[in-house]
Amino acid sequence: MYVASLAFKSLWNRRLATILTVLSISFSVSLFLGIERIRSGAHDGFANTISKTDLIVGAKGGTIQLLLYTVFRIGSATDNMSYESYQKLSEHPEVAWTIPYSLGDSHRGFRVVGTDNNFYKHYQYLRGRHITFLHGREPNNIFEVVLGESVAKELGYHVGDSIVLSHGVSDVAFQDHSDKPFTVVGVLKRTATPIDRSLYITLQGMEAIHMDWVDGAPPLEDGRIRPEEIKMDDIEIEQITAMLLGTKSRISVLQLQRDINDYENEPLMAIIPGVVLAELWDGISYAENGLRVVSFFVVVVGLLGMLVAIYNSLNERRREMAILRSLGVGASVVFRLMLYESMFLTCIGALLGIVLMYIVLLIGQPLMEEFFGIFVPIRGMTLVELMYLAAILGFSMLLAVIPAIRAYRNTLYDGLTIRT
Amino acid sequence: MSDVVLALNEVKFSYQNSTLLIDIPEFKVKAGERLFLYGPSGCGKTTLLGLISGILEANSGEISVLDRSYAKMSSRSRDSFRGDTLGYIFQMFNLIPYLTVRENIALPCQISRQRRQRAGNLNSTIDALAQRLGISDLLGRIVTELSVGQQQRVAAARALIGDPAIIIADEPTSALDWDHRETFLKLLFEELDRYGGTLIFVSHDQSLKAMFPKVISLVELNNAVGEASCT
Ligand SMILES: Nc1ncnc2c1ncn2[C@@H]1O[C@H](COP(=O)(O)OP(=O)(O)O)[C@@H](O)[C@H]1O
Ligand SMILES: [Mg+2]
Repeated sequence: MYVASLAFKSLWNRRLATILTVLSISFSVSLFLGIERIRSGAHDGFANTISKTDLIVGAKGGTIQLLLYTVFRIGSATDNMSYESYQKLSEHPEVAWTIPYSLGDSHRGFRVVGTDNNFYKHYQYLRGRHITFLHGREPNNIFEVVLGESVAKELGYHVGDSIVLSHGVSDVAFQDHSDKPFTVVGVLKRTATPIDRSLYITLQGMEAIHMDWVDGAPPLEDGRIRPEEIKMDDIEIEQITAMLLGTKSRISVLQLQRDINDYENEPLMAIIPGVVLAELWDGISYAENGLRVVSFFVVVVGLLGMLVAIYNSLNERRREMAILRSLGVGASVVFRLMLYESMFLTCIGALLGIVLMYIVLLIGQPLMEEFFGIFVPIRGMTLVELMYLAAILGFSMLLAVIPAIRAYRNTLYDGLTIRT
Repeated sequence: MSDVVLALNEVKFSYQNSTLLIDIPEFKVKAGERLFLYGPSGCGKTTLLGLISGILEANSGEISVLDRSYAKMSSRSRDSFRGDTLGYIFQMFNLIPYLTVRENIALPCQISRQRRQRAGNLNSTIDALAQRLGISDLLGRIVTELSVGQQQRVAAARALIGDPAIIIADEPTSALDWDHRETFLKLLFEELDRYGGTLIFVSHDQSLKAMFPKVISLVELNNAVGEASCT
């Protein structure tokens, strides 16, 4: 017991070095834990961009490509699928719900999604959260548009505003659908997913802005159809880009996927979003591992700092060790004393690091969600984190053996000789 | 138990890869004795004390303290035996810098259970001891604020607490001026008288010889041919 108390008093006597060492350990520990949490937050956010959707269906092509343009609004489809197939699948006995997606237009860099009211009813993200409205309502008419939260915020749009969509999805769209302006009728609540960065219109709206186009080119002046001439019921949907579907029972997913992939009427492809998301994440996990390695080395550097601090103190403490020896303290106790010191430093540093991490998370949580769409939940320490901490402590004990052995040797060599 | 508290028999010692430094055929100290062991610098006084306190191991021969032979003890039990039976005073820098004066004095009783038991109520024992040694005012102080004379008295208090059978003093007065040396020794003697402790006092300075009933020259005791200055 007195050994621990001696270790503590000795550290307190060198408080400047002690505090600096503890701080450096706590910074590195909080960085390590924080990065680990942000990483898992990013992963969870990624994996939860879409949830409860059993299959995504589109024209045959790359699986990752299909996932990217339907879920992340990145890239575009090479081919469409027929609305007829969509309807057939909707009526499939195993299918509980479907959402059609018609893509290809944009507004000032934000993608436009043509869909129907199923989207607002069935789309889920983050373990089953539904889409809700911040303002307004669902679009019921051809020239009505609902905005994702980021779109409304970044462009400063409100319900009632009139906006013009553009053809194509490049940042600088070539053709505006300026003859057929849309009215904002709603703004969605923030989801911290790509949902926020899109505009939503009806399938009919999507069809309507292109109905007078000929072979992918805008109509000439005299070929134009004026918006007021178009009636919702007159429009016939022929094609969509992709669809999402949920099954009645998850057991049927694989069979359904196989059936769709073998669909006879047109070449279709179905993907299980969770599987492709995991594939995609694996593809970018080298960045994740890189981050891990960096934060691991931050901890190593923090602990090496401690090693240096303790090692440096050894010479001026030889005298103290000789005194302790004369009082009946064994060389092995001197060894233990040095280990205790490292243990104190690491434990206090780690505790402080945990506190620091929580403080940073509390402050940083809203910012991270705002700017990166990464939601880092503030929860207790996980078993894995505690295991990391145990590993850090173990590693620091391992390092502490170096100065401890040195002190032990000095002590044996010095005996009762007081070196100054 | 005989009245011999320390006995050396045919003890030989040399540091690793070094010539024989200690060769003592016979050396005995009786209980309650106050022994002045004289020897010039570099003759192996501190080395001998290291052997007596069980920190160094003799190459051959036998060392026993209170009838217990070190040769038969593990280094670990020698350590705790030392804590129980010996009080050690160094030439200077005796104190642990990060402990208060009181904590320094109390330290042996934390390390040795025997000394703790013999000390009785630790706080009042320290108070009384400090009173007699004239360091009562210093008990709450930080060690580094003390003068050398004050430090040596605190060191004496720490060596004496819990009544160890033998007090070993390795030139404890050489950092003090003359007046202080005498009072320091007198206080030490008084305390030893109180519980019948034995003193082995080592110095290269013969001026204190007169105060001791028994004086031994290490050069005569030690057969090893040491450094030029020793012969
Ligand atoms: N740890 C050691 N290793 C090797 N030689 C030592 C060691 N300690 C002391 N010596 C040598 O032993 C001799 C006696 O030293 P010491 O016992 O300290 O003498 P004294 O205390 O009488 O001045 C000296 O020559 C010294 O250099
Ligand atoms: Mg010496």
